[in-house]
Amino acid sequence: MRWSRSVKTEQAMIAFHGGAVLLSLVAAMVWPREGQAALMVPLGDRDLGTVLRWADSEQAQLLELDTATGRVIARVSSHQVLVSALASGIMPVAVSARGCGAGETP
Amino acid sequence: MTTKVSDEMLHLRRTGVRVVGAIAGLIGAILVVWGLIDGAPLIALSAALLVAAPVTFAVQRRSDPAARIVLAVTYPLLAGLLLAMASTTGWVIDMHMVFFAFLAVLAALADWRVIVVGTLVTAAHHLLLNFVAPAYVFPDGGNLARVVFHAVIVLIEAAVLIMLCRQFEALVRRLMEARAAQEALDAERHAEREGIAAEQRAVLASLSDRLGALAAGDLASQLDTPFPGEYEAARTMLNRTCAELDQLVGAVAQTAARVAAGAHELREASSDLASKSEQQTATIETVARTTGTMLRDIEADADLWAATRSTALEAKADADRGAEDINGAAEAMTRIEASSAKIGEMIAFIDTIAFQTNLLALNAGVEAARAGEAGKGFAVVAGEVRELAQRSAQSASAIKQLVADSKDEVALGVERVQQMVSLLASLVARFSEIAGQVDRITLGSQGTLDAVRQINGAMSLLDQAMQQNAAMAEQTSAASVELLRSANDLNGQIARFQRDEAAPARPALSHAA
Repeated sequence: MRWSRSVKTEQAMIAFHGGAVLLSLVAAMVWPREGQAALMVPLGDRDLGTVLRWADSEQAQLLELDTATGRVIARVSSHQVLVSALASGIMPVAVSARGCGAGETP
Repeated sequence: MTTKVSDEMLHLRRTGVRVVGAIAGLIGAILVVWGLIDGAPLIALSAALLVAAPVTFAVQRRSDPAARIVLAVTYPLLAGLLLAMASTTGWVIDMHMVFFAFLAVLAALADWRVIVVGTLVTAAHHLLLNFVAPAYVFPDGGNLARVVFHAVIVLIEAAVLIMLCRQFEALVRRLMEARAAQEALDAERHAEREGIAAEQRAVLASLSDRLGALAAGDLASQLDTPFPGEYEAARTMLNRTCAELDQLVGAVAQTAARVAAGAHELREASSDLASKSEQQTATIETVARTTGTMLRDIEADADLWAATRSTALEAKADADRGAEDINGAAEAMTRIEASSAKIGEMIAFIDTIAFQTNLLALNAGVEAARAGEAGKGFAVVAGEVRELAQRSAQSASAIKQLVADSKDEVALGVERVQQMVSLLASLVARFSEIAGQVDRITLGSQGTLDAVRQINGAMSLLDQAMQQNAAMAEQTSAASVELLRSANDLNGQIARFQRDEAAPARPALSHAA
């Protein structure tokens, strides 16, 4: 019984750490920081219009717009913007915007 | 031995997990603070969640592969979070050093698999970043060649670290093998020492028991169980020693008994000697007094003998003088004899004359008868003359007889005087002899006196010696009593020992005793 509980605890710990790893990967690689550029990727059946409506509603500064490919890069002004993007079904992914130096805050 | 190696490695890795986990916690704390300050709550949250498991493992002192792999996954991600935090600064390129440093930190876990996992996570992170957020990796723009270059550097470092970990494992294994060999050797030596110690304990226990019994007085029992190895000689020697001690105690017991008997006899003899010494002392005192008395008597006798000698000498002198007087008397007697002879001659002449006268008277008578009346007067005268002659003859005869008697008496007197002279001479000789004998007696008395004086002195000395003997006898008696008491004490001490009654006493001790 004790061994089984220990195994479950171990599995829970591993699972927890796996979630932490994934969260860390997200935070380290794709989650934009305030002021950074973010590729706004519509999720599910959302489309470019959804992204544009969100950008319009949030007054987000668009850094790149490619209507042909539906690629939209916007500057993340605050975390609320990121939250609202997620709430709108848009996944912000940190990218380096053209015309902006890396690490630079436009 | 494999278990020992695993244990040693487990210990090293446990320490490594603690250190690396603690560092991860510290870095996570820095990231949390940094992320909260710099407006990156997701990074702060991610860092907090990411270091939760490593810190827990460190606290739990775990060192299992899962914990190590978790750390191997965590550290590149911590570096990635640091890189993400540095992405808004100009330290992106500099922050890449953290990946190499963290990869080196993972070497503290002493597991090449951790290095491999860390390298893979780092490579995956960079590849993903190259495609997702190349600005985090290459601010000036990424390309695959730079990624490959970075990957080669990481792989070189990883290869070196893997080699080091494997060498470290091999080193630990060899060290453990050497330690195990040393421990085996130590165990073997320990077992050998334990065996020797067990033998020594057994031997000491047996010896202790036997010595305890010996201390309690048991001389008869023996150690029958053989001792191992070289200790057997000790057992044999102890048994022999106990046997000899048994014989010795037996001899001492016999000696003590004899000493006690001798002391008893000595005490009795001393008592007898003391009483007899007292008696002899009293006797000697009596003898000494008697000797003193005898000495005084002998001295008196000596004086008496001296007086006797003087008397004898005086008697001798008197005898000498008497002899001279006797000789004078003898000479007088001789002269008397000569005078008597002359008187005899004269008497014979007178007798002859008286005879002649008688003859003449006869003749005158005859003649007067013849002359008748005329002659009557003559005849009367002749008769008278004849009577006178007869009377003269008778007188002469009487005188002659007297002279003869006198002569005889003189002769007898001379003879007596001669005898007296001889007697006096003999007496003088005897007196001389007596004087000489008295002298000798005196001398002898002097010698006797000296002898008696010496005897007296000797008796005094003997008296003192006897008194000393009596005192010594008393001391001897007291010493014999003490000796008897000591012998009895010794017997009492010996009675403590339990002896083998069949063991004979040592002859040499009997002689010695």
